[in-house]
Amino acid sequence: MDKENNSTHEEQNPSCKINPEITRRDFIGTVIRFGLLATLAGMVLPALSYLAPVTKRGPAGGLSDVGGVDDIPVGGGKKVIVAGSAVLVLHTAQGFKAFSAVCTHLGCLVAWDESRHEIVCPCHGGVYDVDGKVVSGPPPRGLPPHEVSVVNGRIMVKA
Amino acid sequence: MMKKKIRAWFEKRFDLKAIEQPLDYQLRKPLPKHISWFHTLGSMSLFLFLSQILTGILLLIYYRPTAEEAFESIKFIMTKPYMGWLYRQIHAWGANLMILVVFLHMLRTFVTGSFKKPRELTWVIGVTLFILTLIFGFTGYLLPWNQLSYWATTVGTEIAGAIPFIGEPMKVFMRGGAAVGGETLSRFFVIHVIILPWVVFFLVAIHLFLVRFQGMSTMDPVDKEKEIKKGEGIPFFPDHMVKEGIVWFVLLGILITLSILLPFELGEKANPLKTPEGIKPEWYFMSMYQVLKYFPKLIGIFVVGLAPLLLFLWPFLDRSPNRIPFKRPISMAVGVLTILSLLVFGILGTLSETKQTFFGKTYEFNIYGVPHVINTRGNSVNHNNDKQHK
Amino acid sequence: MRIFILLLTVILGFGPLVLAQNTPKNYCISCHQDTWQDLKNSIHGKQGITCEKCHGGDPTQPDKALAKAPSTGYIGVPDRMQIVQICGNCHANVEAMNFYGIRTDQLAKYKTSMHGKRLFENKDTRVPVCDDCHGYHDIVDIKDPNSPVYPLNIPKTCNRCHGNKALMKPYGIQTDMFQLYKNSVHGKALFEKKDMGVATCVSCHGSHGALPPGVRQVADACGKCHMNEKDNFLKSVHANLVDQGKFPQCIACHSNHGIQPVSVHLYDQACVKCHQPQSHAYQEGQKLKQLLSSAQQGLQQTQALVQKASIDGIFVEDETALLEETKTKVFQMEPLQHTLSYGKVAELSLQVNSQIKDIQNSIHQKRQSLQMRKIALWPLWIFIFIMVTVLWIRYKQLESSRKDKH
Repeated sequence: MDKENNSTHEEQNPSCKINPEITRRDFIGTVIRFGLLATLAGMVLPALSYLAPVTKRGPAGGLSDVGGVDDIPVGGGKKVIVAGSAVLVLHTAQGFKAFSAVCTHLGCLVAWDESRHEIVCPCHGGVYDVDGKVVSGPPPRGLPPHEVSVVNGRIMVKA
Repeated sequence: MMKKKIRAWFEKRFDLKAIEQPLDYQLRKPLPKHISWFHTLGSMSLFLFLSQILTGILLLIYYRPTAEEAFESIKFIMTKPYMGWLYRQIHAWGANLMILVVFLHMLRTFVTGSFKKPRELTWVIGVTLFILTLIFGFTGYLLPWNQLSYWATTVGTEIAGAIPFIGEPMKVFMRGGAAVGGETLSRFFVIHVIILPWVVFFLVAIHLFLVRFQGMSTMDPVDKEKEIKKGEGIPFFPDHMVKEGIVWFVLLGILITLSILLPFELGEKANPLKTPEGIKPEWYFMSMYQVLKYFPKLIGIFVVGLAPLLLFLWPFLDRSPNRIPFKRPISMAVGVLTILSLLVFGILGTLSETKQTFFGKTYEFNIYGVPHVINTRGNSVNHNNDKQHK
Repeated sequence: MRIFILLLTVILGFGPLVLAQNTPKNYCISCHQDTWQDLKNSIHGKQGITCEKCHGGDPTQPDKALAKAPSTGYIGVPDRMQIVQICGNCHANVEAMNFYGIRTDQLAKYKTSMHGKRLFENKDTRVPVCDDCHGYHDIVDIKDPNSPVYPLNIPKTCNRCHGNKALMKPYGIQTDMFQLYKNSVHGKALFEKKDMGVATCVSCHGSHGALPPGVRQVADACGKCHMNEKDNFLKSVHANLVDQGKFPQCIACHSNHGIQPVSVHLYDQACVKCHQPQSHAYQEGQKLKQLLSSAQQGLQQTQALVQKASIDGIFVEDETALLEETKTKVFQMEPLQHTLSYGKVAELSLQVNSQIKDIQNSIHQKRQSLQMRKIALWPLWIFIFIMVTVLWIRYKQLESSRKDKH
């Protein structure tokens, strides 16, 4: 495109001298030049905004950064969204753990009860322990775990 | 002012005239009078190739070629970055259009007899480029790592495995393992974004150089071509160039329109444990896929392998000096038959293993594309026959 | 001395094994062959617990008369009172049961049950004793699906007596519980889904200590599983009435054996039992019903909206995640409504509504941006048309100038 644009521009001058219909040719030439410029701009500008960083996190999948180590105190928990599904991240004395936050009973989102040191479902009173195993209540299965790792002080959860 | 200064700077260092004159000569070298809109197919291919490179580079910014992240990164491209969806759609549609346009370009060359002496080499390079375009399509199709692409690639590489002796090792080599997996993705990725682009780039350069250097073919018979005198033909620049500009703009519009109105869906992430029903290759492999079904494996591959060989050798087989189609009835008949068989087998392949309703009756097509009427109970009438066939 | 210790260790270590192998020949089974077939594979037979433990007698005596001699403590078929005692001899003995890790409170509990009280206090022998539920010679582990007290079999086992009109008549007990239960939400979960966690007869009435829960214990019985409902109920205005014995807790609205899946229509059906439709209390109930049904409807509509958008190829990951949260809130409203507090439920309903609005807006925006893409095609093609036109004019100009030159 670029090359074509310049070439048209160069071409313009000699032909003007020969042809008597200077004004009309000039007009067409201007439109063409303007159009090519607009086309070029229309291609470059969206591409530049495409390149602008959109989020702090890259594409989800594999490991997702869900926050800094300091965001969750020891004994605390936090619900995060990883690749469209809710994940409960716990900071236990043994390190970080993560479980699917979707209760295996009827799919409510479970929460971390700091005082009881258990994962509880607010809907039908399902209770899980820090390993995601069912302690009591209706859930038929434990919570599926997610892989967690800490990289440079960031908590990374595998989707 | 600025321009003159820059020119002066270069003139002091390089013999600009020596470069400019032949360049200018090639640029303004007139084209024969019969040049039509069909002669813009080549530059359309070039346009699409450039478009693929530019959108491809943009996609590469966010794409991640691993089994874990490929699908998610495409999803990311389609949702998060500005216009990311458009670049992916243009790339996908561009790939399909490119295969079509390159094929039509080849067809035009065949019909106008332009491949004949002295341009045999241009033709051979062109056929190579066409095959490379198909490989581009095949390798690129896997990269989104969705169910369709995963299983189409599994079937595609399986076909290669049927070649005697070298087939099995070749299949494993292509897949980078026993089954399609993360290793296959890496391999296909490297072929798609590193190897093919550069090979195609250099081949296109040679192809274009030959076209310009030898000049466009006229309709005169072989060895009787007259040189076009200055002022007789259409100058390549700016006249023909303007015409190509028109085509490029229309093509750009078509690309964007298709991308918006008929977007390619991403579908489900590849799942090696769940084979979806009715796995078929992309349309450009459909006729080949269908032909393979009718023959025992070995013969099928021989038949399918014959086609590119014939394409390569055609300028050396078709030795009649005439270029005008009416004077080459046998060539034209072969051409028409080829196109017809491509269409017929392509349609049969598309219909095979599907249910279609025509004029209120529902037909079930078996793997050979043979229809059976389905009665109201939903059973095929010729069910028993069908089984015997298999 | 050393040999003696070694011998002792061996005998103690392989005690049960040695005993089983060295059991002298059991002559009971030479006549009672069919009974032996049952006993052999039972949980007791496998542990070497045979005839004389329950029936007395001396199995080592080949002579029939000697085997059943009075000195052997032979009792023949034990009567009901004896059965309870005989089972209790071992099963209430902590020392005996310790090895197997089985609880020993069954007999004590049985004595507190309506069955036990009638047996011991009224000498009523029509009541069930151990073997009526567990079987006798062929008793299997309660975890064995063939056991009559395996969770799936409990309703049928109880129904053997409680479904018998003639048997229940003197006690004035209803006999349609099994039919009611079978079609209840619990019964369907048990029989159709084979859900072992669901409430059977014993979950509410107890097993060995079987009793009908009194008016005040209903919430405790249901609250074993439905704890959030129970906690919230105890905060409601009705909880005060319970102490006065005026309100039978859960079953006042939900009934008992034939309990059906609940819907908001219970507000129409249950409240009128005590409250006039014009009354303030009834209207309060209707207001709660309104909140719940609008939240449930809103959730359903939004779920459908998100699903349709997903089918139309729109990426709805964020909305799906938010929808999960909304669903949790709607589910939370269900136990919370038992407080009968409009304020508390309304607070949750407000959150639900705002989330639903967020999801709907977000989907709407995504749809609009898709629409915008299509609209953007118009200016694009107008631009292309202009460019094609001017380029074509230029081509014609070039062509004519070429001809002029010629």
